[in-house]
Amino acid sequence: MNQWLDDRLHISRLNDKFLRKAFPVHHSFFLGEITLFCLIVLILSGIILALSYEPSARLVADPTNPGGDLVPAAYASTLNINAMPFGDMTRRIHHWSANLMMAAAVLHMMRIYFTGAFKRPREINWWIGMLLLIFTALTAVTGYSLPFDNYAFTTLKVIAGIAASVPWVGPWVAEAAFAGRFPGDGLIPRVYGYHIMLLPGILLGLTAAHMLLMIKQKHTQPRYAARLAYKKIVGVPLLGQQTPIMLMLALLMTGLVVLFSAFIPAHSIEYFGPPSDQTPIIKPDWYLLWIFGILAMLPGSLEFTVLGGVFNAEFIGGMVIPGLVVGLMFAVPLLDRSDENVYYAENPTEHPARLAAGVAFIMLMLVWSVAGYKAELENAGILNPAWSIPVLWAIAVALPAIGYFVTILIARAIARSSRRSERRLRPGAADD
Amino acid sequence: MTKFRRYDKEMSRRRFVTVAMGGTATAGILSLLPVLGAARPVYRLTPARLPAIGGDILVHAASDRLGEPVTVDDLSETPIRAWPAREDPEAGELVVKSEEPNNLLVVMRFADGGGEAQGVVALSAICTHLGCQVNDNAAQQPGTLLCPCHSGLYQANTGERISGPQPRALPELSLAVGDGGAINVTGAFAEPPYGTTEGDWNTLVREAEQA
Repeated sequence: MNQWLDDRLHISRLNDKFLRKAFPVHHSFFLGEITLFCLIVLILSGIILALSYEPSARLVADPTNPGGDLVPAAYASTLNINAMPFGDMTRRIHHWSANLMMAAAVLHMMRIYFTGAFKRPREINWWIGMLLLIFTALTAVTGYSLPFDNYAFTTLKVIAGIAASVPWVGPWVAEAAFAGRFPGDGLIPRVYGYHIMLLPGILLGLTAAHMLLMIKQKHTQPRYAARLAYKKIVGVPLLGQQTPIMLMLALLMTGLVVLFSAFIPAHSIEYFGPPSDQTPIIKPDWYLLWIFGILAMLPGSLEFTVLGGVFNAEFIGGMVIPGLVVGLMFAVPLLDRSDENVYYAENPTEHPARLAAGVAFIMLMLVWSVAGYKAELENAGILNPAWSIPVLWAIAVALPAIGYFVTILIARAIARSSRRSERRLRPGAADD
Repeated sequence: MTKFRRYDKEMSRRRFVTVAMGGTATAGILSLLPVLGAARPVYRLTPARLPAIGGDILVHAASDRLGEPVTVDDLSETPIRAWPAREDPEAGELVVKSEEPNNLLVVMRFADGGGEAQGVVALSAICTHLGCQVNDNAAQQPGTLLCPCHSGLYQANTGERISGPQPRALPELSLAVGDGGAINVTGAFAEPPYGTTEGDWNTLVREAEQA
């Protein structure tokens, strides 16, 4: 069989080039794989959901109350999916896999950042990874808009509002992106098209590029590899050894997601009901909460006009500041100016400034996310409404700054003590 | 690098291919660009999408009383939702202007009010920040309206902004209470509501008045 295929397809070349790719063995190297497995689970469960979902805002009878008010077909079909055998379960698996994919991607990115794996020659893969993160978030947001309950409706309204706030071209952009003045008849088919075709297509293309570059450039090697065989690739080959590990990991992950889904429901659309003239109290999912927080922390008086274009708080909070944050993340490989290719994963504490900048960035994101609960904090009496905006901005500056300096001090102390103990234990040994 | 210079005026093969490829690629991409315009459907202004103007009445927006005229007796300090509606002179039917979601109103009646409106206040129900509908906020702070999207707080009897990210106050309709307690609109919003610019708003109001 192998011989037969090899005669025709030259499998052995493929084998040498790709299937024998060495995978370093270290637990932190599995975060990217978990992201990939989530994508596969999402595509499979998404196909099942798409088979029964009706992407339309056409008004139909409410399946839970056939004599009552008409509801959008998208909402009704989501209720019907819930009532199918394993329908609700499929929705839950899809929902929680999406959350896990975002979480694993963020952790994977932290691993790359803190160990310096983004450095030359792997800058391109950092940028592709950034695009993957952005498009994963976009896919997730368009996904939770599809059930078209009042939550989805409000979410879409806010997104369309932010799109329309772009100076000069905003209203045109919002109408082109969301099929006419909000909420147009074409809204749900449009978002559906984005969610099941355009965005997953982009995600798959970017994932393929991410994998190919990783195979071409090889993983950064874990530190222990330097001790085993200096400047040699250490790891287990893809076919034969890494594959069973991956399979086990994929099955374990899927099993845990299914178990989790069995106990924790996804967002309940009956609770929010179909779109109505009441706005529910909503928060975006955790990975977009920071943008929500920025919007809550900007005063409405922030508005100025340049050459006829209106720059308002929605544009600044919903696009400019997030754009700067994402731009900063894109620029990370450019901040390192070394001419040498990085070969081994670096110890985070040996790069105190980078470590501290990362910690400060994460703290800033957390403060912004907590600011998304500004109204709740005010109602609970923790924040005074008159002072909440300046207080939150002060915390957003102070906490990351404190985090930065404390991390530098801790990292320096660790580096000093490890150098001391190294000298004492193994005089002349290479660091690992 | 080249030892021999070409003196003939003929175009080199490389240059020809570069120019030809660049030219065709540019023309091809430009010809595809108008397709993007198709992503934005045409917006047709129907009578049910026109804004509220003088001569309209207010009708209930709640689904159990949808389309019934609002009367003074229905109102209290707790806001109710209403649509503007206008008699179609040809068909003799009431056209509820509910196809434009930004036409939604909150209507309240405050005891201390006098004048033609008898204390009735109708504000745009659409938050000027990102277009969510404002809700009653009596549980937290009586006399205010709250937009739950980004917690914009408004004064309920005037629509003025108290706190939050919204740039402007909620625009207010001028009203008069007519026979049998019906609520008559006597003038459009002075300020454009959410979703319209100043210039578009004036055009819209003119369109509505001519319709």
